[in-house]
Amino acid sequence: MKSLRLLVFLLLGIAVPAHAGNNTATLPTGTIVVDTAYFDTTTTTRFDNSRVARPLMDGIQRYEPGGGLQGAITANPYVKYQLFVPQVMYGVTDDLTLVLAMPTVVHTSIKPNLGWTPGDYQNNLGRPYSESDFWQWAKSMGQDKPGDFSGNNWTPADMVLGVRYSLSKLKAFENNGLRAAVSAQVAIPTGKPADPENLVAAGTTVWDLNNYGDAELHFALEKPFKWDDFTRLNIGVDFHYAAFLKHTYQSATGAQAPLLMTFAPYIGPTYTIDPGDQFGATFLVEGMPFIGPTLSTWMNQHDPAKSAQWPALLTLTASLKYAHVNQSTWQSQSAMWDWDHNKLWLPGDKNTVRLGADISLMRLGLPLQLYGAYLTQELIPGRNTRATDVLMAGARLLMKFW
Amino acid sequence: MLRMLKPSSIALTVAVLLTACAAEQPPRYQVVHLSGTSYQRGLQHGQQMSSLIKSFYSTLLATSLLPYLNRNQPDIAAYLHNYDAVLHPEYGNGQFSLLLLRESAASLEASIPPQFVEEMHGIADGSGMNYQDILVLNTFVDTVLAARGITYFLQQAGAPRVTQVEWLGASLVGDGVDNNGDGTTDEPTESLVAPYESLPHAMWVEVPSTAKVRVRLHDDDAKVDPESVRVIVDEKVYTLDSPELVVVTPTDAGGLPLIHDTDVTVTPAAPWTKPIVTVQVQAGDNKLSINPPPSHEHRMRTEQFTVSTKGYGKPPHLVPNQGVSDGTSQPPSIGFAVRKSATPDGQVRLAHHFSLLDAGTSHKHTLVQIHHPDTGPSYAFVGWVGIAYGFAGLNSEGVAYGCNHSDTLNNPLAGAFLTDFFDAKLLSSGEPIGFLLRDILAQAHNADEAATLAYDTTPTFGWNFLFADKGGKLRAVEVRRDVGMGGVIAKPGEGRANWTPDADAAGVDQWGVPWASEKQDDMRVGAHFRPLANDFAMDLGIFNLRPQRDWSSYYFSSVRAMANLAARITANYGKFDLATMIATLRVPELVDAHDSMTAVVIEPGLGKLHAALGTEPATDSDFDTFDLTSAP
Repeated sequence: MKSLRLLVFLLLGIAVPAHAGNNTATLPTGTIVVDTAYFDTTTTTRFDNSRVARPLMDGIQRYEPGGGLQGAITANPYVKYQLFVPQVMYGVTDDLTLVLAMPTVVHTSIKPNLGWTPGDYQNNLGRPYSESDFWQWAKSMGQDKPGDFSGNNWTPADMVLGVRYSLSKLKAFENNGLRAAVSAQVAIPTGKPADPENLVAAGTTVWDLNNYGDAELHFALEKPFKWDDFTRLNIGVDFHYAAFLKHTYQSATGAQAPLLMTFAPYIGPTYTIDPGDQFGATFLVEGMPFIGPTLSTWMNQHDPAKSAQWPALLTLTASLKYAHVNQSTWQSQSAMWDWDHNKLWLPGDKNTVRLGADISLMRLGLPLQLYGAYLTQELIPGRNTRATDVLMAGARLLMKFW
Repeated sequence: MLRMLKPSSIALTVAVLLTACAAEQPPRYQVVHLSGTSYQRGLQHGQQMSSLIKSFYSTLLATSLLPYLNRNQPDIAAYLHNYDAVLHPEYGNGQFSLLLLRESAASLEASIPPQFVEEMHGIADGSGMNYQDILVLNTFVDTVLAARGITYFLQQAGAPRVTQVEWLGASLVGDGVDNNGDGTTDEPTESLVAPYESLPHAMWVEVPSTAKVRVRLHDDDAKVDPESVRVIVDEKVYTLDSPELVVVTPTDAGGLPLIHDTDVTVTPAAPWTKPIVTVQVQAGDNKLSINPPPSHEHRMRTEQFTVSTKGYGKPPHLVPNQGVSDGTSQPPSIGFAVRKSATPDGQVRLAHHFSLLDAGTSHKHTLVQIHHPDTGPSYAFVGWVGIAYGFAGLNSEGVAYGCNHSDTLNNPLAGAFLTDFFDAKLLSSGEPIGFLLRDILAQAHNADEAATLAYDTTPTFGWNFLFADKGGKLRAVEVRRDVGMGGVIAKPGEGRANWTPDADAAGVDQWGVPWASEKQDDMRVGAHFRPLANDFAMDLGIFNLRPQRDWSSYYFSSVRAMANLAARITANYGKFDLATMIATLRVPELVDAHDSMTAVVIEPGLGKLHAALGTEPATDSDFDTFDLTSAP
């Protein structure tokens, strides 16, 4: 039964920037787990090529035709995604488990937090453009000041199908007290891309969430340590490769933002983004400081000995995930426009620290587990990547009908 | 299998994964070699630069200049009824500027030699753009500069202006000096200039350093806002908060207030510290204008006049009205050429830095075109994708040029108004500047021939040319249209100047001072007229059309840049090799940081063009060399 708690992280790992936990467990044959989790993610920072934290966007310099620099629109965007992730897992055999997850964006909000850095003195004004001056000017050119974005209410993200196969029974692992598994997952494009005409917008696709790949392959290896015949410490490593497919997007025509987003006339009606594949490893330490009492309940058929190996009442986890991120490549009919994007998505890496706690009520007679975690990519600077912080909480219910 | 993998191959695989496919920055600028007929060369240009031409048109015109010009429609339609969107709905719905440019381009097309029309058709066909848009791209400079001049002038006409200046406190009458250079000493009005006019040189000399200055400002339809007054004397800024600055409404002889006049008096607390002192004045009126946004009062350009202090010893015409940049203006386009004694090796060199309209995009679309026509000389020039010309170039005959715009109301758009008044349409006419420059590359065998072609053109605007050839000839040409009431167009030879630094009567001013040379072996041009300083003057009653120096926003910055450049030329005489030419172009006081477009040094005797392109400013780039003698 311990494996129930552990398996769930397979898909949590898919739906969040990093994952941790036992990466080798599979469900017993015929077992079903229904898991629901809520994620609250915020992104405000990107790391540049020198690992220096920057706002998500560079300033946009604006020019008065023939009048020099009006100033720079500065932006310090605050991006918040709230996600609800239901998932179902099924143990086909003791070694093979299938998973289906349907991540759903509950709400997305983006505050661009626009500011202004004045530019050249303008003779006709007798001053440099103030922020108010600039947006009056922009409005006269047909461009309103972009407002906040609020949307994606209960919008599906890309669905995920996964499978895990345990290798723990192989002699090479069993004889050394190791557990191992390979896992694979693919995303099904059920998400919605961002409105191409809206300067401040976000979608719900794999690319928009930028947290799990179109296809992923994992190989995990773990070493449990027991005291008093109970695993109290588990250390492990999970190697992963996440492939992202090239997708085609509609080009902005300037219908809503004529000054800032009229691209289609020169980049073509569509363009592609080939996100950089990601690969790396997650290092995990898991401790069970409080096993808790084992009650005589219906779940153990009133025989506490049967539940001696069930999950501890409290499990604490800490992990560090390193992911190298390849170049993400924009491709349109304009090499110059492509470069303006490509230079912001050069090869780099990100480091995710995760701290989590699980409370299992199974020993107390409830087939329920509650869990929570905090993940941060800001603690250890990355390079050419965006850093997301995540707070999550979830619950999972065990079911077996035969 | 695993055993067969050596550690080195694993490391290699990882290294490849880690470093694979970092995106590469496209080149800063483009180069095309074009050969064949005019159409074929245009076609090659269009095919190779298709995407960039489209992005240039979109980012410079469609999303920048066109909506920017649309903002002026209400002001223009107030005078010119043909552009009223209600009476003429075709100009409504944001189509005003595009239609205006297309109509003007169609008007200019008649003056474009057929081979260049063919070339533009080739560019259109090759790039997949329509010909009308390519024609606009190749002619908008001619139309927009003239239109800009008129709208800027009209804005200035509604703003305060300096009408008189007087020195007080220390009389210039009785000091035994011809302070104002009028040939008369100590006349009663020597301390006063009224009416005021802008000059390229000092207004007075030998002024006591304790003098106080009174400037009278006039506003035809409003009153100067005292809070807006800003005066700089001897590099010290005075505003209404300064005890040294007093603003009053003057009275006439009968004691009645002159309600549209304002006297601003500055009494410096301490004597001036410098031998040459420039006074800069700026003010706005109390009439808030909301169109075009942002809302603003009517501001005069920063007016400036210069004096020398007691003991300086030079007459006014030898003291440039240079002033000091306080960061409120940028230097304009400049060009200079040297030869013989100005250089260490006798080579002729021409440097040119063109600044006008970058808008954050032009520098990303720069292009070196190297043409190999079926007949005639090969030539190269620096310009922009989709445009069949550039403002600096060289042909294989060893003729080099640089060309700058020079504001003037003496242009065909003003001429249209003077012909048809309120029924006028803003249609340019004459030979578009770019195709004149192409003609020069294709036809000129030396600087004299090039200058003659420029001199004989029917210009679309004011242009200043600088020519150099491999034989060591240097020439400068200034042209402007000659319009008058009834739309009289100039005959060749009127309203032009063509001179050399050699013993040349046309090359010196009324005091015998060269217009644009320090010695015999250098010439320079900026964005203001020298011989054509009185390019226009006509009082229509409702408008008093004035010469460039009285209204152009480029005028004083050009005077300042030319004075700076003259000082550099003098300091480096005899040292102007390629490196010194480049270093001079890079002097910060000569670089427009935000509207720089192209920079070149040309060595016509060596057939080499060295170009800095693709950055803002252009002079931040390395100068790459293009050798016409070895080009395929």
